[in-house]
Amino acid sequence: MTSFLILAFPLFGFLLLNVFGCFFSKRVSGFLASASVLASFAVSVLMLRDVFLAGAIRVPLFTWFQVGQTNVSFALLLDSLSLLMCLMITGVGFLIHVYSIGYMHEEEGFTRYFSHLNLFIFFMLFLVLSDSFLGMFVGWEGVGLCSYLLIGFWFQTAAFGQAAKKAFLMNRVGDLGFILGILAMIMAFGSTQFSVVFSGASQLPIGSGIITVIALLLFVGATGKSAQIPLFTWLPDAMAGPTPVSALIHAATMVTAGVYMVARSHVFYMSSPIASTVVLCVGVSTALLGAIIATRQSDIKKILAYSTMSQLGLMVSALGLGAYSAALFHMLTHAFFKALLFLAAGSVIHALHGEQNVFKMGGLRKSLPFTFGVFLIGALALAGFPPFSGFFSKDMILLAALDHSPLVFGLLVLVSILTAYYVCRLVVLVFMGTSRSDKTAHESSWIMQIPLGILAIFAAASGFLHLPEALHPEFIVVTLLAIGLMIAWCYRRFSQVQTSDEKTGIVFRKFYIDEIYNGLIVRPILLLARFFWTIFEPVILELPATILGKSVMFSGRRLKQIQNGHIGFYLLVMTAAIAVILVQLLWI
Amino acid sequence: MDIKQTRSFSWATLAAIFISLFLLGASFYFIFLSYDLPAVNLPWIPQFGINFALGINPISAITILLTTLLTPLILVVSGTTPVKNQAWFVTLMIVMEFALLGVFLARDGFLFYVFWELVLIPAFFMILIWGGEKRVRIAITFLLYSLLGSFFLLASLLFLYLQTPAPHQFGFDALFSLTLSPIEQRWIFCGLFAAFALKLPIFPLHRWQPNTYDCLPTSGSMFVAGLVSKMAVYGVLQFLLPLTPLALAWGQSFVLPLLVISVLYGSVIALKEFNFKRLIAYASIAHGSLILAGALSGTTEGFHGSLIQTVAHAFGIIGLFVAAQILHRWTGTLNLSRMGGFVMQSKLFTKCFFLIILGAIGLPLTAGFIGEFMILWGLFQVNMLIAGLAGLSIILGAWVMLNVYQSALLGVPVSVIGNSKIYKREFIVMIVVIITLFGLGIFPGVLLP
Repeated sequence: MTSFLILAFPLFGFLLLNVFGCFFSKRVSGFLASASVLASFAVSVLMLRDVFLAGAIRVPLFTWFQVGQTNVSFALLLDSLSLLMCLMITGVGFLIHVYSIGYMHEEEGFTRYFSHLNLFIFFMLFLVLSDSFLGMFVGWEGVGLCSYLLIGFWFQTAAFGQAAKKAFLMNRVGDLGFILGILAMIMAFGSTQFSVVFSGASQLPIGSGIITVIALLLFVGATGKSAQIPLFTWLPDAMAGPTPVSALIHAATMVTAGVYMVARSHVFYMSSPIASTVVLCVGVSTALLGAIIATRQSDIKKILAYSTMSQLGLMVSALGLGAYSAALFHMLTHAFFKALLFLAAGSVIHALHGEQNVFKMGGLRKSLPFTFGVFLIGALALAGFPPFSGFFSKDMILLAALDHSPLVFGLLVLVSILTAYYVCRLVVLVFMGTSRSDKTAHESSWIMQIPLGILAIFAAASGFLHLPEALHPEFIVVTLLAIGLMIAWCYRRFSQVQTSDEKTGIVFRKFYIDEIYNGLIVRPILLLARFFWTIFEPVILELPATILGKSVMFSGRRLKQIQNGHIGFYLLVMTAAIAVILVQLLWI
Repeated sequence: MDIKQTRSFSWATLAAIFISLFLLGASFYFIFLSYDLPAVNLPWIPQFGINFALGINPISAITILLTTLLTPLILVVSGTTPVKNQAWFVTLMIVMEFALLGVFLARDGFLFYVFWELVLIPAFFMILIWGGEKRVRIAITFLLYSLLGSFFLLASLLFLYLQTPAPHQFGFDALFSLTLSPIEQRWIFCGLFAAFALKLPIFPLHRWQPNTYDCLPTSGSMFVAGLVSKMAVYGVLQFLLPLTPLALAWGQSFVLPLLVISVLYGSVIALKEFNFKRLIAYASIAHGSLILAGALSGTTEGFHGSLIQTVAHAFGIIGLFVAAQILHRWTGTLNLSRMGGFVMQSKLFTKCFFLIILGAIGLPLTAGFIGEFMILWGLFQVNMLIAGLAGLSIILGAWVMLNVYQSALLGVPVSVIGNSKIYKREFIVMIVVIITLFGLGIFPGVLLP
């Protein structure tokens, strides 16, 4: 039952802050929220030993509902996968909570912010701890809700609200796929519980149709949550939220839910070559697209957002290759270094009073030495510079790709080169050269620096958690050389840049994908709505009733003329009628 | 308007609330405590085999409880913005509750029809007296559409009546024990479906509904939207399904596509509707059609899903109408595009409103999710494509509801023109709605066998 506490702490924190939040000072709310996540982290650590000994622990909670033979109940499943997720969520989550105390201290909705953050942690843990797909779906929707609330945190700006709505709706598109997948699963196996479903699935022959359908429908859900093609355009817009939110939800945890889901249901994907191929294709193309767009962006958070999309694509590619542990390993290292990069970017933005355009930064290494240091560590990890963590995890994925096909390997290498390029460009533009900003930057407070420091340690060293059996020296040498050259070239190219000269071009415009979606989907629906509202409803639908009414009125008016009050007319009609009757009688 | 009247309940409202609470207590007693249900069965017009027969079964128990639970809530809200001649208004509401309970209790086809028609009368007069500028036209439209539905209902009932062995009987037992040929069942299916589809209503028979919701005083809209429309669902579950099992598969082939079109139409048109009450009307066309689709899927899951969704929708729509009433009081308009930035006006209201919106979106852990999920589950077993298309409503519905929330509460604050008050009672009603929606969402077993 102790495992239940993992969930209980953040939920309690949320309720406490939501109900009694008005009585707490900012410091107390921030402290309570962070403490609840830390407590949850501590319980997760305590559970490590039990899970290690027992393999998997199942904790039934209660029956949700029962229809016919299908019993849907909530239960927690602790195994190495879910516990790894828990540790990552609560660990990184705690650091981001602490960082937020400093980052958000001037905000009015401070308590609201922390209560939503705690609710997010609760739903995220629910997502990874549930032992059924339906339970996972509850968490899945819950994190989507929190993401909506936190992207739209600054509610006075209508554009932020639009971004939040876009994220929610785009995720709902994926969720529809998820729901249909769950329904197909219930039809096929009579349950959504992992153990039942997976044992049922493993008895079916490889390549059976129903498994492919389920796997593909579930993957639609994953593309929504993990910002894969075609449901990725919400992620860059989601940067409207506060930077720690971007770090927690849109880099480290929520967006990896899709990766977790596919890894969790690997039984499906292993027995469906078609679904695996689709996953691989989507992953590789997302990785490539994200990396290409990231090379031309000028907003520091957008660069990181596209980078997240690209790295998620890399993880999804690994899933498609069947390299599940590589995908999860990269997810873990990515959580560290991307959270670090976002938080460090937050520090920069904070220091420059909200400036996000990298062409208006520059030379910040002198005024922000600590931030520069940690950002550099994160950047090197992202670029895959040995021996930083990203190197090892990417190495694993690339090796798996090499086993699969040279084409995939080549594309993923290209992604890595592009990654190194945009990372170097970012670092050089922000920290090198001379300042292009008229604001004076100052280093952020210790409460923001401590989480940065801890994350930097993990970003640097977490690669050693899972050392490959054999290190390939040629890999290391080539990578070192390639990234070294890239740094040198980027330094030459960008350190003396004065203004943004890259405001145009198809890549800067993100291949017009937003515009295409708007034109092909959103606008037509709204036009249809307008057509319904202005023409169809009041005119066409009204037509039958109008015709009916008009004809009744018309015949009434006409018939009224018969009843004109002239006795002579009445006599005439009467005589005529009698005559007709008589004629008819005589005829027969 | 007399200030004193706005501050406290008028005696008439108070009396009506007491009556409705009494009915609530009675329904609780008969459904939960008294295991031996007193089945009333008195001869009424024995020459025609018509009896005054009342009784409760599991389906009617849910609708009866829904009616007796919601009426006091609606009356409590109606006390905050009394209309002219409030006493008459609440009297009509009590009459309507009485007629509705009659519909749900009747165990005789003729009696059922009489109560069905009786519901129309107070609703018609409500529109005619309190319906604003275009009230005559709206009232007549409402009446004509309703009578058209009643015609189909009466024709079907008479047909069934004539099939019973002589002496003909109107009792439910007699009607349900009929063995009809498949062709006869198809006729009955069409007749009853037309009657209930007009009542709910579904596209394209809904033209009376947005005007009616819009023109009535908000508590009247609540009654019509939350309860009267549920007669249609009740009719489908209680009559259509048991009477026409052999025609169901045939009927599904055209009814389910029609209902899916209705779901999508209601959701899409709601995207361009800015009048809050009319928007609720269109959204509930979508919700109602989904409920009917679930019921007509002919599966256990769809059946229970439609029951749960009925309850969820009834409570949810009352919550939405309370919010509409409050926003209307603040701004003097129902036009959502002229609202905005009310987050800071009242934090509690914002929270309540958001939670009600979540219920309408059908987020997991609200009753709406269980209902939608089980309806889709039922539809999925019949036809996957239909289920997928009906599932689009979870996207469109969320779009509509988030539009409402964001345009009313977020963005640049609009100054409050009218009375900036919120009554405690309104909060109480909203909180009851929220507790019900989330309670049923977390423990839906209450409504399942």
